Amino acid sequence: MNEFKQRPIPGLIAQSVAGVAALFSLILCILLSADFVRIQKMDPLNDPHLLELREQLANSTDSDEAAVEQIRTFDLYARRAFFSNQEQRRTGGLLLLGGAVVCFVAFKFSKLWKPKLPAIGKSETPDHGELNALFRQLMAGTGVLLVVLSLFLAFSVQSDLATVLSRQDEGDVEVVPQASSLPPAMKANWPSLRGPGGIGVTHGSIAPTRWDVETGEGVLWETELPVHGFNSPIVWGNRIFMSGADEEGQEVFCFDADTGKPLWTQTVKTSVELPEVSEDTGFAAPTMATDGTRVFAIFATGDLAAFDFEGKPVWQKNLGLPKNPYGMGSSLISDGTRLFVQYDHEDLQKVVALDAATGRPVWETPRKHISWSSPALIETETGVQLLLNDEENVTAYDPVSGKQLWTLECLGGEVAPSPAYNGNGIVFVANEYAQASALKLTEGSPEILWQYDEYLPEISSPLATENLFFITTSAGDVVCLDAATGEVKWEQEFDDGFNSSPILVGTRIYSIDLEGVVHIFEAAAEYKPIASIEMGEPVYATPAFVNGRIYIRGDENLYCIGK
Amino acid sequence: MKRYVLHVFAYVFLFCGATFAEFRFPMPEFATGYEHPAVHTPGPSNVMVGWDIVVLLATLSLAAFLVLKRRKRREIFLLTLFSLVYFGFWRNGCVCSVGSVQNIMAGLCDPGHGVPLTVLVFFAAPLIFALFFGRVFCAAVCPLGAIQEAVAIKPGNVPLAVEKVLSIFPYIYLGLAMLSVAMGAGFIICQYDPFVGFFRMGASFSMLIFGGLMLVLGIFVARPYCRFLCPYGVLLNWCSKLSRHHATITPTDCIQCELCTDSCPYNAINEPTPEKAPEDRGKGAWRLGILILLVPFIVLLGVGVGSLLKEPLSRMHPTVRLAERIAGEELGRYAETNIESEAFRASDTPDEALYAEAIELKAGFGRGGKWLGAFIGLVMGCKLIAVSILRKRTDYEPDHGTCYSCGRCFKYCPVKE
Repeated sequence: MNEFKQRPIPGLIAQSVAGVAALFSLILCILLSADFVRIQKMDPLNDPHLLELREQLANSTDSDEAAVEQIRTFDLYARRAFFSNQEQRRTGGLLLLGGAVVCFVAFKFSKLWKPKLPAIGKSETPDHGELNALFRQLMAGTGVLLVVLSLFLAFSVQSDLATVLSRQDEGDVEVVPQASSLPPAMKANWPSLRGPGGIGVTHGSIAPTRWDVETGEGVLWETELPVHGFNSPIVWGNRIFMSGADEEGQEVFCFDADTGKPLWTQTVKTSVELPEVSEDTGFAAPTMATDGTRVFAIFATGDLAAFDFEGKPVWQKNLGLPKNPYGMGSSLISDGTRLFVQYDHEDLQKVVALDAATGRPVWETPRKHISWSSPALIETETGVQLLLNDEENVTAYDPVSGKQLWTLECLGGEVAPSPAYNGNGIVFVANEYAQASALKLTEGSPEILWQYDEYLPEISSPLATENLFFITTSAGDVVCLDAATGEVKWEQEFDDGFNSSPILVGTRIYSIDLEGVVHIFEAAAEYKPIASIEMGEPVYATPAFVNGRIYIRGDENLYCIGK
Repeated sequence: MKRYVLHVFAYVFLFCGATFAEFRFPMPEFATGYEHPAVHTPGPSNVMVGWDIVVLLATLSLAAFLVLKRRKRREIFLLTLFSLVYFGFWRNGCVCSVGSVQNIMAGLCDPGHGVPLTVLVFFAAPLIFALFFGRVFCAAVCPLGAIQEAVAIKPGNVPLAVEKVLSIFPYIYLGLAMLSVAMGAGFIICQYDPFVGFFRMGASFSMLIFGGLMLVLGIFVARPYCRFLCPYGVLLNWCSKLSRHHATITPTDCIQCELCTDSCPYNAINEPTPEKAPEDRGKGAWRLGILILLVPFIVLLGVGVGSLLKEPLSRMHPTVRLAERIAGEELGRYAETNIESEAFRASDTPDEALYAEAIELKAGFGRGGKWLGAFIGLVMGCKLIAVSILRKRTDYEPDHGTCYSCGRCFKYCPVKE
């Protein structure tokens, strides 16, 4: 068989077919390329008209059904156009492929029918020496080219990361990282659970000791709460903030502190499946926090949201679904620039500091144990420390860097109470099924002054004055101990237990039991009752004390006691 | 000439159209409480896995038979088309022996990275066949080679010296790919596979353009990817050099008619050694000695240059790129955020954690850059030495390392069995 036999006519026909197929493919290519360019310019989601409609909808307070319908219609048209176009492009692509295959097959046949004849005689090729010389020259040139290219890449690719890190290093040298105190405005308000720093001490010394909910005497206002929640009120200026949540949704609400009128309510949408929570915790147990500009709320879903004081959303994120037997219990706290979240759950234990303005993580420090306790910020001689309890340890962190300052194993059981601080170098922690411990702060790890294990708190946090330490228990006991020695000064038994934490106002302590009786007594070495006042409904939350007023969240109502 | 111009246009524009996967429309937002069904990613199907191995081994065996026994270019080409359709368009170019190098490397670097049996077979079988029968995998089984073979309408000859110099690029690509895998930066051979977008009828526009250009180039320079980029080809070349039953141009004795000299577009036919020595033996030995002594210096130069490449090489890793982006945004280098930085900021990872990870990775790339430089230096040195050694040949023979066993030369040989 002659494999080089020439067949000019079939060869010519094959060439013609290939030419026509190539032309067909070329036209299709041009059309598809033009379509591609057109599609690249399209941005249906940012169409000015659609954006205008969305803004209109966002700004309208009522549900603007017409705008919603227009947006839907617009969206539908955009999607329809997109998918039609996609189908057209797919068809075009397949036609193009078909054209190319025909073109290629025809060319192959043309080669079959008009094969290339072998060249007779050896072509002019350089001899071995010339070839080697040329190769060495080319290889040297290639080597130089590679070196030059490498040097160019090495010196042209600059690292922004190196710049940022060097600036940070310089900054570390200049700035002392640990803050010395909390901002004064924080102390003048009630920015978190248990007030400034979250240690249950007010910076004012006046609060009412007489009122009557039934008659309304001494009660400035009373308002019904829209959604249930175990969290406590926080107050900044003339605004009160709280959250509530159930299976239907998560809400943040703001009230006028002078009138009790609702100012705004915002819904925090969740993108996760609702977790199982215990009835005693619910979906909104953590108390909100504020940095003085924004308020922050976290829910059992792990949704963390920030709003400005007018209720406008600032940022929102989900920290991951908390997994623990009871639900999310740890409240938020802020030092004015950072928001601290204690996120100790079964799968993940960590403490995170977020930029209050943006929600971006500032630092994150891993932890080891589960907890339902809330963080506290204490002012020590060496600066502010962030204190966290867990089922084994109490640990202090630098709020600026997240660096662990010290940790001490002195807790146990499922810990919910938060730490207390006497303002004079002694930290107190206590939990049922463990013990109460007084820890003397030192330059290194604190020294345990004493421990006590009789009456211990389950939910409510302990309270410390300079010389005394108070515990309120779920069984209704109140115990006073000497801060320095742990000596029991007095014990008092009430009818109902305490979930709400005691608060020190001047020389008095306010503690509300589960039936809603406010027990007021002197913070003294002897039990000196001042008053016991019924709120008329159960109280689980810790009250807020600002400007001589008390804000008490009952099971269903919010009360303002004072003038 | 016109037909080639038309052909060029056809191939240039052919693949511009296959840009289906470029745009993603977001899910609609429903206010009626409708819940989007969860995104379902189907698990890997094992139905075809065993079949793929069977087809691979069968095609390799058939290719060896056709190359060594049947010696018919047309039959080899038909098997090439089958492989193009099956391994390329039907199986979407995956599993692929070329990419399997990375799996093996990943398995070697990380004992926790399991290498599936299929991948192991796809990696080893072509090499084993190459050890015995030459590069029959390249001839008729590899879909990447097949698509290039299909478009090689008017292949011209690249000057031999240029061909030999360009042959270092597959080594560079192999080194880069191994570094990328070792550092966890991804499988770049797969990411930058120029032809897989055609097999799957969808890829990024830039990759389709790259693949299209490669095919257009392939019309005039046969198998440009195989010759000047394919990292797996490096291993096949090594194995094939040792093959004992490699394809021959002539089935019996070469009559030195020289008809075959112009038949190979791959410069893979070695001519007989001239009777007269091209240069003085002593001079050649002296040069060889110099080159051998030069190799350590070239390697050291490679180490030095490679050590400077920490920054550019580290950009292969997505974490380093993200850290640089975040740092750049912090410095105000960018007017806007991008989707990656937004996703990162929406996560709970602090910048410092990202930066620390990136710094660690960069240190790894710094070490890897030195090894890469040393490897490239060694390859260049060895190439210089190899070319300087004159091997005695009496007949026209295929080069065992670079011959793809495509069978083009068979019909040019007037000697028949």
